[in-house]
Amino acid sequence: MIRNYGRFLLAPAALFFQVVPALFLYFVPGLVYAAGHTVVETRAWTGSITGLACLALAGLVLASTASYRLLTHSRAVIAWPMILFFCVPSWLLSVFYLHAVLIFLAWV
Amino acid sequence: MALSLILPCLLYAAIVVSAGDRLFPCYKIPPGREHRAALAIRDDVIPFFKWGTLLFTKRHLRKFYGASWYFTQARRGDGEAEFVAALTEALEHYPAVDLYLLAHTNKYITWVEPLPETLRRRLRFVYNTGCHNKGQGEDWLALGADAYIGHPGESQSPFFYFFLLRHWLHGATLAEAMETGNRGMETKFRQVERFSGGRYDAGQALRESVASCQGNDGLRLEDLP
Repeated sequence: MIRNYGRFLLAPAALFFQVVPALFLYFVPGLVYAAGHTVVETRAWTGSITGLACLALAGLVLASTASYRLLTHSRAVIAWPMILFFCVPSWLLSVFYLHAVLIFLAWV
Repeated sequence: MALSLILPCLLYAAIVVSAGDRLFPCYKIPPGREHRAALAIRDDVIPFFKWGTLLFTKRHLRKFYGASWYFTQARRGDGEAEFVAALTEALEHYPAVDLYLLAHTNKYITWVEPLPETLRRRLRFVYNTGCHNKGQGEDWLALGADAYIGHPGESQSPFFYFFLLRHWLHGATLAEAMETGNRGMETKFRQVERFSGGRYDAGQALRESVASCQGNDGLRLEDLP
């Protein structure tokens, strides 16, 4: 049953996954700076960039996989609205985090 | 498959353009990296702001300067001894030292004043994000700095700093980087004004925030004092 509807669940899951980077942004600064400096800043920088990059790439892969499965296994009338409502916001947030990472790395 | 790859690429391009960046950047590190050093200090603000400043600033300084030091204050006024020790070391070993004072209204100038004049003359560029700190420009120039950029009022300087640092480090003159920073900041203020339905006054924010340069605004990153 789940397997049959997997392609429909993946798109909402991709959007729901964006809660994770939001939680990351909410909690990590507190871990680094609250109540004095608990983490050395160099390690905080490396860990934060790695975490953000992984979350951005995971979000991109999830949304792209979801859209691919929708486009190849569903009718266009179902696939496109789902891509618009679930995949596009997920892509937007992921590429935003990705661009931030590239800026923080001083690559762009 | 192609659509699933092209769509995120197009959205990435949209994000890049809306951030005011170039789609195909091609930057080199300006020559003379081994002759310059930088220090940055962030004041005691909420953890998210400290973290954001660290992520944005640290790597840029490390990449474009021969040596760099980054400080985050845990309380107002702390870290003076460490900052002065690092600044002294930088001034002793590098002919050009830049300071990034990433703090609300501040008087870090009092930390630098006691240093010997021969060392202070190696100060090159001072950028101060502090509100109402534009007036410190003359004092920094008198201390030995070649150029100073500050804001006149209750500034929203992070918007400006985002553009200034990157353009200055990529080889623009201070005047060019400042112009880009002021223009980028104005664009962001206008966007916020539109999104807020006019409740946010972009004109007022710009009057308070617009940066100005005192001293040598033709300075480039590779120049020596």
